[in-house]
Amino acid sequence: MPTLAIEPITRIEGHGKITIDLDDAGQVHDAHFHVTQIRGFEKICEGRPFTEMPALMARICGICPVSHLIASSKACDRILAVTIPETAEKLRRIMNLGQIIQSHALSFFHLSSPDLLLGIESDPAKRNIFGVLAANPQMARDGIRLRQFGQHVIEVLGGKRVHPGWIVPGGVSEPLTAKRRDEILASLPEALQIVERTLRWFKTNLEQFRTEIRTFANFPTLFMGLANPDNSLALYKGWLRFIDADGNIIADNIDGVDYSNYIGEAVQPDSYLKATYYKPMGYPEGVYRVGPLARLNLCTKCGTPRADEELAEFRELERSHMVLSSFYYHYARLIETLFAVEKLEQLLREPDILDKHVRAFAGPNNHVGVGGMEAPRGTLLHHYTIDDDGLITTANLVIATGHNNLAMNKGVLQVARQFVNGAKLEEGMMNRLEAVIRAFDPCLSCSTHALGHMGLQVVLRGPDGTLLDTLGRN
Amino acid sequence: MSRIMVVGFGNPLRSDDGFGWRATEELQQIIPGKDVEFVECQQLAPELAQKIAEKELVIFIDADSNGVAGEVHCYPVSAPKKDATVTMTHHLDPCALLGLARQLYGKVPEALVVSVTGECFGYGKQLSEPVASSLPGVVRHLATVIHEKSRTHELVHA
Repeated sequence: MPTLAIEPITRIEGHGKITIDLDDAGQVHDAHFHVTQIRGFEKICEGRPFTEMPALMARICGICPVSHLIASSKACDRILAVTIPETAEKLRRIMNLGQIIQSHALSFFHLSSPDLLLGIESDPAKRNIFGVLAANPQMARDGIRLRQFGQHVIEVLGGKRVHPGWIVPGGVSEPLTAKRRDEILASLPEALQIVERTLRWFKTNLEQFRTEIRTFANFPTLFMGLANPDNSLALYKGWLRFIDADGNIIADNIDGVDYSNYIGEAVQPDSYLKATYYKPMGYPEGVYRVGPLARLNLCTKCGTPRADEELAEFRELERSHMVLSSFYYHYARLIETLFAVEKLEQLLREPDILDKHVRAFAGPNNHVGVGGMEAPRGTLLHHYTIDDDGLITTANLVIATGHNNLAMNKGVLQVARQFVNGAKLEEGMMNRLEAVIRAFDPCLSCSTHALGHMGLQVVLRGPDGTLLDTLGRN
Repeated sequence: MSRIMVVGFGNPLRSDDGFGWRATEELQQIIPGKDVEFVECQQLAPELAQKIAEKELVIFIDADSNGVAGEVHCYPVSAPKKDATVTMTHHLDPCALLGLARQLYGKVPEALVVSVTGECFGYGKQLSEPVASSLPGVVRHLATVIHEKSRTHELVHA
């Protein structure tokens, strides 16, 4: 049985490959997404003081260090058993929104807009941000400017754009000043204009992607994310909620510390990426998706005027009001960016946003802490246990890309069956396989952490594809 | 707005790869901030293009692995004649970044790369001995370049 391999997958964060197994007739038999890099932060933090964890965890990723900083600090808040000051929570939310904006801008403009603007079958040499620049300079400038704005929010609060400190167990390390607040407020109108312009462009061009919409991981799965009591879009805190493909709530009000009752973590022999699944349905049937698409399916409103209008239109894409095609992750990302810009202004204009009381102090009062939040790519959970001296004994990170692993694999198979013809390989079909992965915006640097042991399998195939030998450990 | 930008790039946790950061930090100590904008970053990303397009002179400070450890290379760079076709936008080289500035904003400054051959790129915050001994000379030289550029501007606009 011949195997086709696409390696590396381009325009994603990290290193991965796709393999497709063909049958004797050259038709697609199976397809897989493999992650070929390993990080292992869960092991290297063992024995470190828990107070070091936020700064250490932020180093996992250069794109979403703020997400790890927040999830880690929230886990530490639970270890301290403190309720952080209200202003500190708002400031953490502001930095998280800056992160959502810069990360979504990176995904949409830098990584996916070449496919969306130039076409999935366009010349691969031009299918990059420079190709976008030639075809639509305004869009290229918008992408750079919007990402710059999100990074600027992070830098203004945390002192630097990548790997900021500032968010700490118990709150944040220093209050916001009026000068810094006004600096961010001054840039908001331009950011809003860019998002509005991009949303208009995207909606106008949707029609040409009918085939991709129909075949890009478009199937019923569960969706998971944080939920607010009023069903508005939750990005910083909330209970975990699972809904099915019809929108029915199947598990709700789940406290972060109980995540392992609902989320199972499986190791696959051909990938360093954990595959999580909804435990009551088992592995691999318990497929669910997280991230922008899941979040917009989970909520009934965003909570800001323009984003609410866009959400209502988005939900009209399907008669059931449940949007199942993963192609629409792009659309959802733009709506969330719009929400983030609007919400930033609301938070920055809160009367207590310059309050000086931004941190609660305590020693360790619990041996276990779980922190959960919504990273740009989906729900992020940090779970720590400590000993009596406050040193980390175990750490488990459950990361958005891992939640989406099973759905990405199913999506690759769906696209392969639709587009790949083993007799004649064409560039467009190969790029579609990459593009379905890109729609999820996976971050492999974030998500390749061991459970303590890592399954690895080496497969030896003869020239005709015959399986000759395997060597593995589990 | 400052007319000169110094960009020190590399990984400050990888010994000599942090040379750009160290040189930038030392320059900041001796040059008034209003004249020069200092940027320290791990890699050159497209987001720098706008700032670069607004400057008259940009100095990139880097470490490399060609030559004898501690050797200093200093050369002018410009935007490529043809529009760039690189596929990797995670990090760019100075030429590609200048090309991006020209394509996006229609302006490209005079630019200079100053690079020192590294000896050690392993984990660590310290520069190796040959690279550390090159640092004062590089800082002095760049301070002179920046001073002359500022003086020329003052004379032109006097």
